[in-house]
This record gives sequence, C-alpha cells and structure tokens, in this order.
Amino acid sequence: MAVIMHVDMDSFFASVEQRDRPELRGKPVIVGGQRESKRGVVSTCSYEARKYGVHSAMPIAQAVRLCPHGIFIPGDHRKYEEVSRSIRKIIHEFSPVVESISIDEAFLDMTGCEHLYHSLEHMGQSIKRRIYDAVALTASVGIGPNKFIAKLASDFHKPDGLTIIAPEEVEDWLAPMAVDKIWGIGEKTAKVLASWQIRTIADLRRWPQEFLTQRLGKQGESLYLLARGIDNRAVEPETEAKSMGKETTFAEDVTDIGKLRQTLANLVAIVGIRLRQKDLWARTISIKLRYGDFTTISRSLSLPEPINSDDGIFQVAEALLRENLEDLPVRLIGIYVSQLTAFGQGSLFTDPRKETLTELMDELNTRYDRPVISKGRQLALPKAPHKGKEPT
Amino acid sequence: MQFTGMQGELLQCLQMVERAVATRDPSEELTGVYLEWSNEKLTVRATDMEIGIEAYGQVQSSESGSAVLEGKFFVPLVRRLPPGEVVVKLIEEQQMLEIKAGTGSFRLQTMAVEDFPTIGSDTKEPKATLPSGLLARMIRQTVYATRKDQGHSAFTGILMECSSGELRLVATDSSRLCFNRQSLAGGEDFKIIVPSRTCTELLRILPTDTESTVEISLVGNQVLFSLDNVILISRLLEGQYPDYTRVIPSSTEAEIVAPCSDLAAALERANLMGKKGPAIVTFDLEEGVLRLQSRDVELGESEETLVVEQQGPKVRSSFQARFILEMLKTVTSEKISFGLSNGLNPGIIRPADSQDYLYVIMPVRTV
Repeated sequence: MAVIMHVDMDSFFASVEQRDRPELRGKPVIVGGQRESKRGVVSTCSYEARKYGVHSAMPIAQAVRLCPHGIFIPGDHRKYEEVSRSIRKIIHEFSPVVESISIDEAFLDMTGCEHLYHSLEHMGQSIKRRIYDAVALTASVGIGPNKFIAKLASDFHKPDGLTIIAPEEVEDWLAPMAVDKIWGIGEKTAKVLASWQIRTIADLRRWPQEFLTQRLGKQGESLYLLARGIDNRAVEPETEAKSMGKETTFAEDVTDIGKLRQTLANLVAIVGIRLRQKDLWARTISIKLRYGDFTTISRSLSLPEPINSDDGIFQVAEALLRENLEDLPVRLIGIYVSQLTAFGQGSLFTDPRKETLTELMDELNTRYDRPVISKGRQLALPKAPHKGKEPT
Repeated sequence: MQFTGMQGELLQCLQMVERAVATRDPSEELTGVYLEWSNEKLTVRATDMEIGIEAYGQVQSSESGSAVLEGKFFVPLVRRLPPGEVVVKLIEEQQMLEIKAGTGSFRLQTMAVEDFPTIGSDTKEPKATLPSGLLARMIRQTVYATRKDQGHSAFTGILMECSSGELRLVATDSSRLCFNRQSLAGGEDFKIIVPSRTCTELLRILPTDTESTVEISLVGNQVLFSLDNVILISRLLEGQYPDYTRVIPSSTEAEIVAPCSDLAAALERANLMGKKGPAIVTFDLEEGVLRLQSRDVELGESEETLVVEQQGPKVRSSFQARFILEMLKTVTSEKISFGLSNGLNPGIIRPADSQDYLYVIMPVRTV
C-alpha cells in the first residue's frame, strides 16, 4: 500500500512575517497588498485574520472591510522564496519522490520508507520537527494511502496538525465531509450536486457511476472514485520547467510597429524577472505573432550561451520581430524562452553595473509586487512631440 | 592536351583545395575544381567566393591546357586511383577529360572553363613573413575561442594584429578570450579579422616543419596567405573588434601553478557531469589544495582534489569545464598558471613559462 504524505506550511507568508517581526504575533496579518490597494488580493493571512472571514484570493478592499484593524503587508517574495527553498531541502531529505505544488506545499511519496520510522505518527512528527528546527515555522501534515487523502488530511487539523488516515479508515472518514472538499469541485459543480441532494461525500456514494458519468462526463467518473477514497495519481517529482513565456492579445488589432515593440518590451520584462527569480537562464528565445487573419507564426533563435537579462532577451526578441513581421495588423504577440539552464555564463564585455541595475530593478518590482520601475522602451511613445521643448 | 603525374601528387593538390569547393552554388560553376597544366606545372584551384585555394604540383606536359571538373566526383575518383602514374587527357571536342591510371580508364564530363575565377592575381608586397609552423600554432591556440554561431560578427573570426614588432592573434566569444603574441621582425602594421573557417582551413595546409614560411598580404578586402606550393585567399570580416586589452585582467586574487595534464585529466572527469547542458566545475582553492566539484541533477556529482602551488587567499569560482579543457589541450608546456578571483571576476590561464599565450575566462553564475 502506498504511503503518501502532504506537507502544507501554515499561513506561510503571514507566518514568516510574524516570525521575523515579533510585534505582529497574535495579530491579524494580511499579506498581499497595502490597505489602499484597489486591485490587490490577499495571498495569505494569519489565523488571527481568518477569524474575521478573511481568506486568500479575496480582494484587499474586502479584507479591509472585514478586518479594519488588520495589518496589511505587501509581502517580500524574495524572502518567502528563500525560506521555501530551505524547506524544500528538508523535504527532499525525507523522500526522493517529491512533488512541490506551490511555494508552501508538497507531496512526498513515502512508500517503502515506513520502516525507517517507528510509526507513521513518528514519520509525520519527524518532518514537522525538522522543518520547525530549521525555519521556526509550523507545517500541517497529512498521511494517507494516496494524494487525495493526504491533502485532505493535512487540512484536517490546522495549524500545526498531523492527521494520519489508514487505508481501512478512509471510507468512514470521508463520509460526512462536504462534497466541495473534493479536488476539482468548485462552486458551480457543488451547486449542481446540491440540486440532486448531494451534499456530503456519503451522499455522492449513493449514485451509480453511470449516473455521474452521464451527467458530469469525465469529472463524474473521477468523483465516483474519489468519493470512495480512490485516487491513482502518482506523486510526480518536479520536472524542471522547459519553457516560460507570456503573450498578450490586443484589445484592438495593432498596426503600429512602435506599439508592438513596446508591448514586446513589457512582455520581456515579465518573463525576464520570472527567469531571474527562478535562477534560470535561457538559450532559446522565441516570439509568437498572430496576424489579423489569425495566421500564427513563431520564430526562434538559439544563442551560444544562455542569458536572462531583459536587455539580452529584448535584443533577440526585437530582432526576431524585425526580421519576421510579414503582415499587419497584429492581434497577438508573445515571447517565449526555452532551453533553460541553471547557470549563467558571465560575459567579458558586459558592464557589471548593468547587472547591478537589473538586480535593483527586480528588487523594487518584486518588493511592491507590481512594476514600479521600467525601461524606457516599455513606455508608450507620445503621439506628438511635447510642445515648446526641443528633445535633448 | 594531356599531362602525366603521380597519383599522390595530384591527390595532395586536390586535398588542399577540396574544402574550398562550393557545395551549393546556384550557377554551379563553383562546385568545380579548376585544373591547369603547362611547363611541368599543375595548378589546382577551387573557390566558393568566401575563400579560395590554389595548390601547385609537378607534372609532365607537352601542351598546356585547362579544365574544370565536378569536385564532388573528381576528387573521390583520384583518391581511389592506385598509386603510380596517372595520364590525364582533355578531349576538347567532346568536352571530356580522360583519366587513365593502372588498368582503369575514366571519362568525365568537364564544366565551362572560361568563367572560373582567378585568385590572388594582383598580389602585393607581403605585410608579414613568418614560419608557417608558428602561425599554425598561434591559430591553434586561438581558433577554438571564436564564436561558433552563424553570422558575420567580428566574434566569429580571429583578430590578427601586427604592430610594434609583434604579431598578435585574439579570439573571443565573449565568454572567454584567447590572446597570443609573437615578436616578428620586419612586419608592416595591419589589423584584420579573419573568419574562423579560413583559419581552420589554414591549419590544414600550413606545413608544421621548421623551414617553411608563410607570407601574409592584403588584397582589397581580402587576405592572402602564400606558401611555396599553395596560396589561400579569404574574405575578411568587417566590423569593429572589441577592445580586448580592456578585459585582460592585470591581476587576480590568487594564482596556482599545476601540471597541465593532471588538471586536464581531472577536468575531463568533471566534464562528464553534464547530461543536458554543459558541465559546470567549481574551483575551490584553499591552502594549496584545489578542490574541483561538479554536479548534475540527473546524473550525480564528482569531486576531486589536486595539490597545487598557490599564491594568495582562498578563492571559489565556477566555470564551464569544456572552456578550460579546450585551452589546456593547446598548451605544450608542462605546467600552467591559473589566476583566480572570487565570484564573477575573470580567471586567467597561461602556460607557466610564458606570458605570450593568455586565456581569459569568465566564471558562471550558479545558484
């Protein structure tokens, strides 16, 4: 029987902040944006804030209404990333088969490692302790016969929980749970199920597979199995990202090459910072163009050495655009980078000050979680020259 | 119109020019090899307009003549002929060339002879004359650092610069830079960028004996290398060569001296740790012990230590193993000196007994 463990850091970003700033402990901390932020959303909030009904993915403005005395923090993603890396290192000590699903949670396939511990309880406690000793943060851990059960289990007692569900306990344990606990059941499906009087997992089990498949298609089939605690998905160790990219469809087709160039510069800035945050470099740069008639082309260039600076990527992307733009108007433009490597070859002829500048810009743009500083090429050109002033 | 020569001599001429035969030519005439014989002299020529090579051999001929033959067929044929005498006869009215050797007889269709370009006709005084073995060595010690991608940037060629009584060859792909100099008597000043392909072809034709000399002359936007029995002409690369003097560090934080072969052998092993990309090797130097580490997520890792002569504090820096190996393979001295600095500052490798061959290498940034 498989032994799958799910490790989920408790309100990760908020806990990191509370750890580093003692004055925040015991207070409702909401990470995601300044209080005034109109468009920000909550990325994490402390358990103290959850009591007020604040939860992740909620607009900041709404969180302010629910929890007016909350402490709103934009968040320091570089720091979270660093803590996450330390945690990932520990997790990898426990099992060679690890699937990270986000910055703060991972599945471990512990099958075959059971004999290293006195019990599954001991296994769960060991990893919790190792994480706490290393980063002074608590994790909730769930252990079960598959990913579905392990994830539900880690969520069962939060924070700082450890829940172990033995294979023979699965069915009884699941029975009273609301159907929306099942992965993939959102509000919409839950409503549909409710209309058939299906509210708990036990309710769901009463319906034959054919009924569910007929009405919900492929999802019906998986619901039928999950309701019985059956989940055959394997823990898939992270395969390194093979490519990254960003594209945008214009609200109106574009005929102005300057506008294309500027859009490309902005897309490059997004992909560039993503590459650098992951400490990756790319050897192949591609652009994608979709013309007004929906013909789509993509063109790429491979470089002798990998790069990750916006300037470097933009230089290639712009050349690709210049050489391959065959038609106007353009509907969509995109930039992709691939052949990713975990090292960057230094260049003899690059001014080291440029790298410092990039680091500084990245830090500013990450700190505020939105672009606060950009290159001139990312800005729209004025339609007409400024009055009265000669360009200098 | 015929000539008689030895298969070995004929083949030698053809092999020299072979690589200049155009493989793709819309008008097709450049896919041919030009032969001309008169006064016991055979001239063989091929050009693809980027480079042209002309080689000379000895034959017996009663009457001079010329012909152009499809390179792709003629060269392999001569290569396969038995050693000994070859009789070549032009049958003009049929536009055929008859080749007789051993018991075989071959008739090949000839191509138009009139339009075949001449090369290096208006040669000027040589700018420099030097032992061909020396030029060969200097090229071998630089050409590997040229940029390999297609294109005509200055980085795809070797800078050949002659001034202040020395000849300097420089190559860089911006990750590393080779610098090689030799004092040279009586040269004129010049500064040219020679395509790396030309340099590779030169290596094939430059004799390595100590007697032969090679003359370098400039003809318009072309460079001409002349030897006794062969000349090579090549287009030059245009554009500005970067100021290389700026990137050669005057000093490094630490310096080691180590046996070249030991370091190369260790790096060859470390270089295996790269499944999908190049192997990265970290140099960890402390108190005369050099620790080389490399790691590949999918393959595993390697670590080995070398005892070296060290000057300076402890340093740590990572490089692409291949870059260092390529340089070490061209070193003839027993020991090398490797100047290292921490972080992203360039390292500098040279033969321990020479300041004339320098290799500047940029580290890699790793996580």
